[in-house]
Amino acid sequence: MPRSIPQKELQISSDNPDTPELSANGGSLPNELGELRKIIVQSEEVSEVLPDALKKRAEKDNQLAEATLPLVEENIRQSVLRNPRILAEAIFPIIGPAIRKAIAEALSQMVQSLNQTLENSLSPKGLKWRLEAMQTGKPFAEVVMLNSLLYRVEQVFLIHKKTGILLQHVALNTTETQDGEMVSAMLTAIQDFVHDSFQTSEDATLDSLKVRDLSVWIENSPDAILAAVIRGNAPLSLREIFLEAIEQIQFEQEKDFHKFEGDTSVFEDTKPVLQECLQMQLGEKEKPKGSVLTPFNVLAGILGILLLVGGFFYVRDYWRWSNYVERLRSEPGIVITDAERGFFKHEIAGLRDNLAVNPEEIAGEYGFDADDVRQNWKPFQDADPKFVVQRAEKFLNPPPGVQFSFENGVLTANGAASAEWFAEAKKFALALTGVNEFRVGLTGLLIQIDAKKIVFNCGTTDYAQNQEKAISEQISNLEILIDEAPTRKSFFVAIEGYADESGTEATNAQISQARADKILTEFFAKSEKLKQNNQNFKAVGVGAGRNASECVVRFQVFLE
Amino acid sequence: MLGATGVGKTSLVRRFVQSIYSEKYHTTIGVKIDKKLVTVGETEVNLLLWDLQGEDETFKIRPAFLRGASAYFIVVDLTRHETFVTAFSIQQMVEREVGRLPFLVLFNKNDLTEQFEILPEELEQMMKYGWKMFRTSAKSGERVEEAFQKIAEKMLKTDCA
Repeated sequence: MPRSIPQKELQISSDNPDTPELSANGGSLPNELGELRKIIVQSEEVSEVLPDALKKRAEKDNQLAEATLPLVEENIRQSVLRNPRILAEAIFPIIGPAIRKAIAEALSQMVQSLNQTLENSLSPKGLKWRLEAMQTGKPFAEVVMLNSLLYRVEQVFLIHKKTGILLQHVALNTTETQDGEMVSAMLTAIQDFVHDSFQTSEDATLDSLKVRDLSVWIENSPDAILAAVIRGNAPLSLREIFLEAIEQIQFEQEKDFHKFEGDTSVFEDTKPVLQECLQMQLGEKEKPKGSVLTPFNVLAGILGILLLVGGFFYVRDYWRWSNYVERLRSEPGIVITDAERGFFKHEIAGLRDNLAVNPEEIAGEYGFDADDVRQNWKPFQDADPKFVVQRAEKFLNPPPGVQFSFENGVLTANGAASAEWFAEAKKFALALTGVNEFRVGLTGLLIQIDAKKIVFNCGTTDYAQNQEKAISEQISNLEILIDEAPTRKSFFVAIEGYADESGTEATNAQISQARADKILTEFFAKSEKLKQNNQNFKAVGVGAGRNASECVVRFQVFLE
Repeated sequence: MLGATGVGKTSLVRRFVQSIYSEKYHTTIGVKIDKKLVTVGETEVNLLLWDLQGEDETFKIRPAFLRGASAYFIVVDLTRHETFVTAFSIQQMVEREVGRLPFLVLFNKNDLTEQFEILPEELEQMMKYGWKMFRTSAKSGERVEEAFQKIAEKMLKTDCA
């Protein structure tokens, strides 16, 4: 409701209605004031309706926005020129979130495209596309895009309906385009052709052409035709976009259409609108839902398996080698100086007693082939008891019944052998590695001594036949005993004479004693050594023995 | 580009225009589009040439294809008299459908002097009508460039007027 203007403001001239006063520029004052009043009232009235009018128009369509757009643009420009801070401050709250959003978007897109690239590179699809790229000479990226896009608007033609002349043409720069002008003319001709050939209603126009995955969508306005070349499957909503575009162009360039005489430059302004139409959408055509077999997973899986397998072999080899080396270390006669586990070949070197185990054979037990391990052994002699004994047996040539034992550098020969043998053995034994001392084992010796008997002719003190050997042997034994026994504080050899039951007790006692004495005397006579140790010997006559063959002299050794 | 069948419309201009469409379009759609660039003084004129299927008993030119034209050629075969007659009817049709437009008549096959069926008198008669004409030969290319130049000039003159 218009407010009424306070009347007093207008009473200036109404005082003197009969004398019209003249204003500064020659017009009559009441008239001019009346004009002024009209203007003020009008602007008051308009100011009342203006907001509503604007709102109503804005709700109806966007013509108002279109009309005021140049104004707003100019306003913004002026504002920025005069004082940029005003707008900057106004926009500031938006910038932060906008930037964040843009970054997030860019990142996710990057990841997406990375995923896609990976997928496309490694999948059989991707490899097929690489082949295609090589064959057709197109860049791989383009082949990927062509194969994976849902749709893409490649070209847009703006055509003057009446003449069929091309007014504007936009295209994606990756597309090859034929001469736009000829294409537009032909398109127009086709429109007419269809119209004439297929009895459609007068105002019906061609909507679209389609061949395989390429379509041409056509939108009409009274004076213009918009033809868009689309590759792929576009949603119907895309048509809306084209429709809006052509309506906008029709509205803006209406006059230019009617005036058109062939000068297309006036339609340059439509380019941005047309470029808006060059839309595209990439998409996944077939994607299995939540497939585990993504290329990344598969790759990781393969790598993982390779690692596992490799790792297994590595560890196994490591353990084998360790065990092998440990085994060799524990073997007598082997000294390892160098053990290296290489990647394919291993090396081991050291000293080896030729009586020790063969490392090459042992290697087989641990799963190594002869080629796997390089063996480098230098010979040496180990003073391990086992080896010493083996060597002693080999070199000293002991008679049967003699066994060696070795401890702390002392080689002991146990058993009975001739004194000569013992003497020789002693010489050579000291030459053996590790042998510092050679001894005769007492146990064996004692057995031998105790076992020996000298046989007499019964009833006499005469030796039986062939007792010389036994005598000399026993002498040897006793000599050895003396040699070996120094470590013992004392020993005592009882030379026991025996008799058979043929005589009386007295005669038996006598004859047995005589026999023992004889032996004793003979021993002392034959061996200086024995003589010198005579205090250790005693001749004893035992008398009748238990057996008839007891016309003998036996020996018994007593040790401390 | 109008005329009876076989007068040589397409052959006449083949050398002088840019094409992306082959002649099969004549029989399928009835028109083949070519392009030619000429310079008239300071102005570059881009001519879009609609080469229409020839007219004969069975086929009449689609008036729809004439819509929006700025000028036209009518091509006549000097060795066939009937094509001359057809030219007249074509011209009348065009004027009826589209109105008065600048045009040129091209008398083609000028090289086949032995076989001429159109008499010089008839040509003079035509000139009296005020029709502009050129004698052309597709074989030699005689005067084709000139014809394009002339028609462009005519169009521009009409514009300015």
